[in-house]
Amino acid sequence: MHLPPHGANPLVGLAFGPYVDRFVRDHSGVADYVEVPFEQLDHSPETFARLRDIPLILHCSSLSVAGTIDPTPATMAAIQHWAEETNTPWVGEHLAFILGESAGCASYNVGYTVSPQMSVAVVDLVVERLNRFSGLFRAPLILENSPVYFSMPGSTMSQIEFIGEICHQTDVSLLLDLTHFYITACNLGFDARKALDRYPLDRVVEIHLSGVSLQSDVYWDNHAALAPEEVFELLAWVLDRTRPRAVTLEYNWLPNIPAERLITQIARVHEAFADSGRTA
Amino acid sequence: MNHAAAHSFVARCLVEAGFLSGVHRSPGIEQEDASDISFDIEGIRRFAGFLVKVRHNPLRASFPCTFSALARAGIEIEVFARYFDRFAALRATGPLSDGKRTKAFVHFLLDTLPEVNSSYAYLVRDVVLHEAQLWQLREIIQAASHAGESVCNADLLRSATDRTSLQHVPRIRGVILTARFSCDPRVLVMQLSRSIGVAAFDVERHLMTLGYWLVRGSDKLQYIELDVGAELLLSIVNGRRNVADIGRTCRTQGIPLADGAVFEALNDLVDRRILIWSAP
Repeated sequence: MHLPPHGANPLVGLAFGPYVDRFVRDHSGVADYVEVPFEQLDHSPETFARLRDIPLILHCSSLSVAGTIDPTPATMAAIQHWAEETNTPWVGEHLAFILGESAGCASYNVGYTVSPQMSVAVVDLVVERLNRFSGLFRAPLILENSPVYFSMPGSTMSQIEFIGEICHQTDVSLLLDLTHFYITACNLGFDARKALDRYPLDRVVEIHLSGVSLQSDVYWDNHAALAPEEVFELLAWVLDRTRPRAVTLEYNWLPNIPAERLITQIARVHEAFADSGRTA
Repeated sequence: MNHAAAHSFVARCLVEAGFLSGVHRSPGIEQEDASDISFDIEGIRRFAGFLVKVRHNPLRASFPCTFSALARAGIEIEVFARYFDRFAALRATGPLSDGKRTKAFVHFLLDTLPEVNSSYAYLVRDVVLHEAQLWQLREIIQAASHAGESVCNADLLRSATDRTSLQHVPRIRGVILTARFSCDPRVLVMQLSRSIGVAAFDVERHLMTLGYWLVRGSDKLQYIELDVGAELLLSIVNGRRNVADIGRTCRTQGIPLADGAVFEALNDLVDRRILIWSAP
């Protein structure tokens, strides 16, 4: 996949969903790429054939990067396989855990990413794992910030301090999920824009946007809704300060979205680039 | 608290519904020694609900407005959190077919919604019931075998005084499912379908019974509003009971209709082409 040069306007893509391959086929050239989950390809390899005609970015939720249990060699090999097949520029993975230790032989497999304890010990764990995984895949690993929905005992850092320390100790690049960041700010009660001032924005190569839902007094990620105005405002703010290589719209929980809506959303992201103060 | 223990506890809550229920019922039991460290059990419980919701994303294709309605009523996470126990037990029985997953979910919603604290719960129930009827019809069509039917000369059946007419058997032309609603679900669904994300409820209370009628040999669904009498008769008509049988069943159910009146009511439905007469 050919990325724009540093400082140029980012590519705009869609997270894979039930309607995406049809949209890409019927509206060629509107989306620059599709971000496809490794788990989708691993479970249903025929998906790859449906996406042959568009560049792909590989996204992952299987490495449990901030957990205490390593992914299996089979999982690592499968990720490497799909990193090769998709020719992805990077492998996006969540700064989260999926597996928890159990008293027996098997682990507790949540099957979904969970925001970890944010502490020195977990920073060390993530750094060690990044160093160990470096070079194992044909493309670099980048880390995505998780939404925080509940407090984790033992946390001694804010999420920004946590991510900042990992960046300080490694050269890892970041996937800034602006919706996750906004959700975390709402749930923990801090100002998202002020906090982003302390975020290592120079490491951000990709941005995610998705919808938000307020239910039971908590803000939740919602890939069945469009990104709210607040998230687009954060996007504009970030683009004034840095130039990611790619921006992905994660609207992939719905069986279908009208094509006109998607085209409008993609155009809106392009307009945000055009309006931003940062020059190429 | 060390991160391995914290992650392990959270992962176990998110994997073992029974463990989470136990901890939720007995707060403080998870506290380590006499320390102040405690988990946000309610937050974890809600997150478990979020995960169950995400696992039901494939049902959005058949129940798009149900998801939208749950979100609009502000009860989405709470409902799925309550479903965690039952869903975990269902998964423990083995691989779930789409049909099994759907039926279990619909039954759960119809059982649970009356107990949920929301002034919109009754509207959500109507949406669920409406989409369930449509889903069920699609399932019936896919599984249907078309039995032959003999249609008798309608001239023979003009008079209720003709004793032989009481031996004739009414049959439904195709398939009808009936359900009772507190408002017109077609209006609700139209409103919910127009938005991506959370749509507004704007519908008047209007108790009604709706028949979802698929004529044999046609793929066109027709909606028919039914009164209580027609609903009762259609629930008794089974292609084997004759007029006299149907009259007896009505009287057994506390509806004191003479056979002549039953015949006239059935003839109305024949005139509406919902039923046909077949020879005894």
